[in-house]
Amino acid sequence: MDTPISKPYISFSDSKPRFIALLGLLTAQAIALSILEALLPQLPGLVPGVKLGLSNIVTMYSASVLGVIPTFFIVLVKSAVSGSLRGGMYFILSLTGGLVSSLAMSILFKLKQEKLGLMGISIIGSLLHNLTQLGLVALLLNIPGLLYYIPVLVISGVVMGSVTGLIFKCTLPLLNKQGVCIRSRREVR
Amino acid sequence: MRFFGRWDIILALGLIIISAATLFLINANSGKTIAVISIDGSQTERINLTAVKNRTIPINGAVPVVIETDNGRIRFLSAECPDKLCVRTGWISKAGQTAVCLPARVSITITGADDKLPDIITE
Repeated sequence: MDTPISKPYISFSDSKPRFIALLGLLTAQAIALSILEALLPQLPGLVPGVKLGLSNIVTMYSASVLGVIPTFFIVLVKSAVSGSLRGGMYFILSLTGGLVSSLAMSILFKLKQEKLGLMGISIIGSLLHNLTQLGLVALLLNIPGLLYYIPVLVISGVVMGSVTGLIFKCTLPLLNKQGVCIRSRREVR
Repeated sequence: MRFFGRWDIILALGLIIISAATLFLINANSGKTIAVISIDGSQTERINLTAVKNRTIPINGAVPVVIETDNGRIRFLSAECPDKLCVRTGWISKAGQTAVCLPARVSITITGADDKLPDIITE
């Protein structure tokens, strides 16, 4: 079974400089990943606009290590960059999807439950991200017919969530190297 | 490094199976298909796809788009949005399919004649 990502959190009161530095690094990484995946060739399969969600890797890490409010900050900044590059509508979409997704992931991490591992949390995060965006478009543009796409988005959310979960697991050591938890004197593992 | 825990697999497979089953149940019905064009949330046009010939519909708004209909299908022919997701959706022809241009706030949804989703404006 997976080990938890970090214990304990890197909190603001522990070390302000480290916290802020880590937050800044993660935000920059989230932005970089979102730009990177915009460059990747899109698969116009059934639903164009289905993204790989690479920045969820960073969001997930931050949800576990920094907590929910700092993760909201990362999502906000990343969405603002996305929105300024792609249009105002995408800011709101990215924001709501990211907020719901990171809220759910933080809750799952906080629960310290034994059943769902990193893959499961990643899948749920991607899933909620997609569904929230779908729901929002359906609501804003008044298209109930979009709800037909829920099964497609669920499947793609599971697949994409697994892919990002895999990448996350492989890069976890690298991510951890960015911040060393000073409370327990050992590397965040 | 074991990647998937047991519950991860249960979750993933469960979701996939339920979604696939849902897809099977919502089968595209043959027969009359009606394309509904909405601009800014309000339905502006309903087109009976089986009875329409080749026709282009320009929509001039903040972001102009052009919609084209052909034998039983419809698509965004061109759009002046930056990402062109709508155009890249291509032709849609079955009930339940949708094409959306987000910057232009224009959408095309195809409903079947006996669609169960509530219509906002019924003909």
